[in-house]
Amino acid sequence: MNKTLLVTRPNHDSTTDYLYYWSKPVLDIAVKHDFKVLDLESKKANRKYFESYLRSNDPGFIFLNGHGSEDVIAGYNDEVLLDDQSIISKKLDGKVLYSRSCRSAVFFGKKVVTHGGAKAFIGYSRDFVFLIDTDYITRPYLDPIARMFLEPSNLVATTLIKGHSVADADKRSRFEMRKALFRSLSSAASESESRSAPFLFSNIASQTIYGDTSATL
Amino acid sequence: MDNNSQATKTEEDKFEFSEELKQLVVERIKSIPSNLQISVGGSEYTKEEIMSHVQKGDDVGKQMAEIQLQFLKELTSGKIFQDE
Repeated sequence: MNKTLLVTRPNHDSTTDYLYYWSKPVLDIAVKHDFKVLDLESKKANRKYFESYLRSNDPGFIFLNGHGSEDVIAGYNDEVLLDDQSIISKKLDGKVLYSRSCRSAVFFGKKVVTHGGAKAFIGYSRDFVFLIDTDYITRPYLDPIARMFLEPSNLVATTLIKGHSVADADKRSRFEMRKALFRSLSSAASESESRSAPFLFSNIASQTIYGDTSATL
Repeated sequence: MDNNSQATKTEEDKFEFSEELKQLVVERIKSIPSNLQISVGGSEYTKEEIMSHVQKGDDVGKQMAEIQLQFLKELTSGKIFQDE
């Protein structure tokens, strides 16, 4: 088992700021499970650091936060961290990747497994969507609406860190996303919670795995 | 997995963004509390901004419509409550 986690946590806009704070519990759990955590936070989430850390530490698990597209995953100020070159060069050979970036499962995720040698990739085939309660914008980690989206998605990473398979990580996060969805559809839901339902469903529908679903870290 | 990508492209090609659909989506977005922003596609939008994109029928607007439509379809068919 390769217990080295490389995580990117840019924070150059509201979206990435939320991901920055909401990823922190994943790192805490990784430390508790004796992972070596390479935290590319804020401006360190750039290509130079990313490639350097990848080369010198050979992490088994890469957890990517930030913006993206069908072909690339980006870091701080949307600098491209991973693209076709990363696949061709086999830098990601044998690794498990979880990308909380928009649409990276459309092309990049599949190619990094079929051509880049990655063991598995979990990502989203559409934009990863979440709602922000602006009453909490200066305290993202207390935002109860964003929590409905980001806490379940954290489970992809934490389930893997705890030694479970890629399939289990997908299943557990989907289960919690569905719980959040059903809560939002219940009569007890607040107005904000109930309006979250379509967006929660979108993330559930677009969460995608490529590669070895039985893979563990 | 090819099927997954192809299905997305096919759905987009067939997607017709009629005025009626725009109106439906605008009404649904209008009901979102004003203190909420939507983080999608690398940006954050207020509901007013989303409604404007929907009215324009641009990529952001179409994406919002697809999200709302798929949800409504799955909800009314009951599939949303089925185990995966």
